[in-house]
Amino acid sequence: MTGTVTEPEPGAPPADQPPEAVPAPAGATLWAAARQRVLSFPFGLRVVLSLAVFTLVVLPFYRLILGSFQEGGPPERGPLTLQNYRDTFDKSSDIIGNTLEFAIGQTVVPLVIGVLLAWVVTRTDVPWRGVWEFSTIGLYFIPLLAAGTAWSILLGGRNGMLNEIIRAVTPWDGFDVYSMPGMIFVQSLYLVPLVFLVVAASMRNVSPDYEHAARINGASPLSVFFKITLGVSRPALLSAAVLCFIIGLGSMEIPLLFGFPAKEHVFTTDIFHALRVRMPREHGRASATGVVLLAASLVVLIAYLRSIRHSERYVTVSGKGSQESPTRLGRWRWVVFAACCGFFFLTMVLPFIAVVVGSLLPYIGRPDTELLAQSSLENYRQLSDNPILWRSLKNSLTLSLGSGLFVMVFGALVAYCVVRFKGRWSRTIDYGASLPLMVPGVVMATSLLYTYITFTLPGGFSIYGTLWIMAMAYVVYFLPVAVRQMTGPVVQLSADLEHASRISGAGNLATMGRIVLPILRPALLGGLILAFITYMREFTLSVLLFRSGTEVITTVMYSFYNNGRLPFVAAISVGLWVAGMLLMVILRFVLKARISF
Amino acid sequence: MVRPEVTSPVEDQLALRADGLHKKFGAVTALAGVSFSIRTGEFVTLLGPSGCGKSTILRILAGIETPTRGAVAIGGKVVNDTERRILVQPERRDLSMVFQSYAVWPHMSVAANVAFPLRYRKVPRSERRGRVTEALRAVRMEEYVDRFPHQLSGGQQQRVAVARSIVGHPALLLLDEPLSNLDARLREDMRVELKRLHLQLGLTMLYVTHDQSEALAMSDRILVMDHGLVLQEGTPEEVYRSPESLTVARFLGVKNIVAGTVAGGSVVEALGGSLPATLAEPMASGAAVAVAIRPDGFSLAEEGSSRPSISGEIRLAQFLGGAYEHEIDAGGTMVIAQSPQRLGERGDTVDLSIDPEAVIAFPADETVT
Ligand SMILES: Nc1ncnc2c1ncn2[C@@H]1O[C@H](COP(=O)(O)OP(=O)(O)OP(=O)(O)O)[C@@H](O)[C@H]1O
Ligand SMILES: [Mg+2]
Repeated sequence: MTGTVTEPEPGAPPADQPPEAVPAPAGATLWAAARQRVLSFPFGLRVVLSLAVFTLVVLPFYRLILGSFQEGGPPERGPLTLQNYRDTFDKSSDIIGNTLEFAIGQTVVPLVIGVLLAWVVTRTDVPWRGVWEFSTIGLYFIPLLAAGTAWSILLGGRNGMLNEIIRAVTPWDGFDVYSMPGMIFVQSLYLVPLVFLVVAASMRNVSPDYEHAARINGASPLSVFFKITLGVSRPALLSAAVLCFIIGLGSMEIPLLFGFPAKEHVFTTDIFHALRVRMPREHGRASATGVVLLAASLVVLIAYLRSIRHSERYVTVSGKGSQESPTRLGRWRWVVFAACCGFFFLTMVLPFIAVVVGSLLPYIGRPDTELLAQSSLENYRQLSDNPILWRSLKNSLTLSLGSGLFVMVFGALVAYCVVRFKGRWSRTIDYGASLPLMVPGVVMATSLLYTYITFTLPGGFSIYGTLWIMAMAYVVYFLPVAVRQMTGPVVQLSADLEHASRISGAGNLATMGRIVLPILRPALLGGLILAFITYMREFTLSVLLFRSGTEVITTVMYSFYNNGRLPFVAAISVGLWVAGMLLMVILRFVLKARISF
Repeated sequence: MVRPEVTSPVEDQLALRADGLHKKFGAVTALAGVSFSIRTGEFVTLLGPSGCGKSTILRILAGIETPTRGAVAIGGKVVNDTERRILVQPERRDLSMVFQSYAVWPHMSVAANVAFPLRYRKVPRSERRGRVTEALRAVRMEEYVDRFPHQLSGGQQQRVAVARSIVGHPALLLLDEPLSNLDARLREDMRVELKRLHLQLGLTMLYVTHDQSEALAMSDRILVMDHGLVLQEGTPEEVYRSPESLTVARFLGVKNIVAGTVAGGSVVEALGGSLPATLAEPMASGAAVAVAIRPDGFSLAEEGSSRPSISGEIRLAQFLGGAYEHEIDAGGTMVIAQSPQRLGERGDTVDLSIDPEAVIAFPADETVT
């Protein structure tokens, strides 16, 4: 019988002196330990990610905020002053009102529509629920600029085709989309998918038993909807609202397309004019305006965080009930069905017809036989001869693919750090990477612009005015979504898969390259498509950062629009529209990815 | 690379040495000071109930978990020492491991999974194909080379994991319940196959299981564990025949634990009779003891034999294939007896003698632990 094992075996050295192999004097040991830690993979990866987040996110906001208090704005680095803020508020009393009106309007309307659609799709027995879900999400794949063009053709002033028809057959004047209600209307239609995705995901998790229980206790279907379904989804509703509001503060397309002719200016268009139209450039005012927008979104964000502090209360038992439809609509079924058809027609069919028709005409006007007789493919022919369009298309594709690939891997690595290394450092990286979600796009573009406008690499290479600065902006813009997209798949990745690779002899980097990223490939690919489409439709960042030579497809559309070449814009819109729908189909039916934010 | 210094010929023989391993997960103590060593070419088994820290030991040895305190040396080279802050990464330890969760990579075919370690063990490309086939044949998976893990059953994935671990002929092979998901026949086959590989390639193996028959059949040496401690270490015969504590006895399949008292010398009073027994430690006459009786120690008392016997009534008799198992009511206490022949019919009262070797008395307070 052998002795108990806690005693050292005879002949072996005592436990506090393990068999000697590498001689290690005391000082060298500490040094080796320090070096080992610094060179270790978890440490190194987090250093790299921290640096990236710092240069892409933190530094730009710092430059913007500091510069807004300097005379002449960020590029000048002048003495401290409050003059920039005085300029911002002096000239813009109605801009503040307009900005709020637009932001609030385009939060409330899509919230109502999106919640109703989410409820219809997840909780009722309306026919074709899959179709409504698919087509609602599909709206995200249509560039806002293309949709804006469509509504411009339909309802843009007296010459809008639909307005012409309305005037001809009814006593009314029609509806001018070049107005604040028009801006809110169009922007709202295309924010619905965002609200829908967030709210539907949460409603799916509401156990139908909650609703059944309320019904059994005597509540009517309507009060079940308001008290139970909406009540339980409250955190999702709030976050959708915050998302919409911040988009409203920072997006450029609709305010620029419709607000300019309507003389309804908001802060984003003001920044655009200060930076890209007026001479001399008003950097001071632009940066101060940016900081004001940043502060506004921060206020909303803090209010939001306070209100969801107790959101554990809302954690619901996710029943298998997602396939069930707890609410029988009875004879209302067909009314709701008709409403869904109407929404689909209004957002997809009618605008698509408008851009197709518009793209075939020499000009936009009353659609009588005389005008329609002139329809031809001439616009497409002329566009295909336009070298700038081809260049912008090439730029768009390069940027969208390149930034998309980069941002997905970046996001995957951040998610990996958070899941694998836990700890405060990883969480800080995650916060930094998520920050852009809460920052209006226009602010992001301005801060990057100001950080890198004066920055030159050794050798005199400046990234300002190149595709690189646009790529940086694109990466920052999508980074929070990329991290969210990759967190789930990384959580599901068993650490033993990596351990098995390490034990087989592969180092950390080889394990990343051969095991982790390849296993995550389907998720990365799904995210890449989402990033790609987001970048192809992106306008706000691009229009502030592009130069001659780095145009992208949306900035070219805008310059055609600005020059009154609406049919050209319509023709490009048709192309983007079709491409967007194709990608949507690929994502859903070929890759079978669930789209979520 | 620093050539490992060798301090003594004894060390040279050691494939592995673990010294005072402690591991805490927050407030949970998974290991409370475990030390052991394995000689080159030895087959050692860690045997213990679920949650006793077996996997934790393997993970520390492999370098994917770090001990709170302790040291590990593999092949005479220190790979982990908390005191001296030495930590060698898993890929530099020249060992391989079969994970309890298999960890077969889902994006690679069976062939690619098994070939993976060869790339890093500097096996020439031309040899790899042959080595992969050889490893897959050992686990009876050669016809599945081109499948992907999601097309395999749990047991098949487990065998791929075993193939992947042996393909590189590592100096040390760690196996975490590698046969747990196989049916009885296949488990038998694989047991033989693993043992054959062990002998043929001269592999050093550390094998984790909670199946005592597996441990007894395969091992050169068994470490019985509980609650993060090694309770006993020895050859299968040693731990089976002379358990040092009630827990070890219980874990090696001793189902009969009955109360008794020391009657003087090495005889105990239990089951309404006097039984010659082995005392785990010297005890005074009259001391209360817990008596562990192995089921295979019972036999029918021979007529006129002087050997002390007990009498009991057979309540249940079951045929197990190789033996019969009986439930016997001996003076109000139920005991289980196994024997190659039937001891009697249900309801019979029989006289039984018990092999003194199969009766071990422990101080009674040990029942508490
Ligand atoms: N990552 C962890 N965090 C917290 N506790 C852990 C962790 N890993 C293991 N433990 C705890 O450590 C103890 C030992 O776990 P271990 O996995 O080594 O058990 P085991 O002997 O392999 O059990 P089994 O036979 O069920 O595999 C258990 O109590 C377990 O709950
Ligand atoms: Mg285990």
